[in-house]
Amino acid sequence: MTSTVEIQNLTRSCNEALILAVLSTGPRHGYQLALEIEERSGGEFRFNHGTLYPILHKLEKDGLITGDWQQEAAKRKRKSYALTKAGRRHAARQTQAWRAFFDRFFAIVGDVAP
Amino acid sequence: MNRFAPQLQKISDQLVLPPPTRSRILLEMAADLEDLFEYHLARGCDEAEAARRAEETLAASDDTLRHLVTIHQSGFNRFVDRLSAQARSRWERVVLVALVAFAVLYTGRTMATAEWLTHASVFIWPIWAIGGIAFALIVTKLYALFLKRDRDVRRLRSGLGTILLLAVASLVTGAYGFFVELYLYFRSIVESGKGFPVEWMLKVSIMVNLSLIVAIATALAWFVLVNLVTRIENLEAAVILDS
Repeated sequence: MTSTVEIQNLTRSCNEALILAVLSTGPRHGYQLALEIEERSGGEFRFNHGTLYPILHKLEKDGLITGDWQQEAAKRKRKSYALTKAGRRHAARQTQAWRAFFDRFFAIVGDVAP
Repeated sequence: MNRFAPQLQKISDQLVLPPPTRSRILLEMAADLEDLFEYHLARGCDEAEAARRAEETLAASDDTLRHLVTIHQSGFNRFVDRLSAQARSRWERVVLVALVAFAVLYTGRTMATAEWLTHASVFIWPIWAIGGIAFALIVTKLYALFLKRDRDVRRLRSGLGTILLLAVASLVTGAYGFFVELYLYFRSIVESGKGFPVEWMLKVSIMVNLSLIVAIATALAWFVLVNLVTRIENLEAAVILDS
């Protein structure tokens, strides 16, 4: 688990950071994660074609989130994800890594004149 | 029929994973698709549009499925999958059970005539303990499956790994006991100048036989339990695809 932003896998790193950030406020089902990220980003970040699931399952395998099956009356079982302690620490490190990444990015890009 | 059944069937066909893992992924996708569909329906979309939006977000593409398979495939999953595939063959199960029953019964009958306390190595006691714990765990699982009729797959699966570990522990204890007894035997020859190989072999063979019986019986019980739980998971997935 790296705490720097992986340029080669920028999209994956971005998606992981978004998911961990949303889960830091409480457990969510998979579809709730997709909806909340889309709504809070004004449609800028959207999950398509099930790309949410490989990310969630990888995070669960790495021990950063836990999946819990819940059964509500008269409904089928649903899987809910929550951040683990290790996931919380990783999310905090990732946030700092992204801030550092954008600082370095804008140090090069700077203010480009139109 | 589940409105997303065609999509889920397509996903199921491409998820080349052991049945338990595949079932869990399908269960998760099916539940999320339904919830997202209801969400869009509540916001004024008609059924076709709500289903389209749900599928666009959550129904996995071929690339996503390949990625999912890569994440979930492991050596252990491949091993369990091979076992499950074998278990589908009724003849293989019959032959396996017959062979193991013969080994256990024949060895057990021979062992029943042995004078345990007089001749056996002290290592039979930890092996008995391991066998006792394994037996208790197996009985608990069978009670949950057949009497309590528990269908919570996570609860049923928990502890199965421990049963397999106990089978391995029995083998390891038997092997360790063998080498300890061998050392003690050689030491007695060095110290006293004489040894009694027949007595030593009797002592050790009782222990090794017991260790093997416990390991084989425990491993067989684990195999049966794993396949029973796998069958429950497959039935759950089949209900989703057909409902």
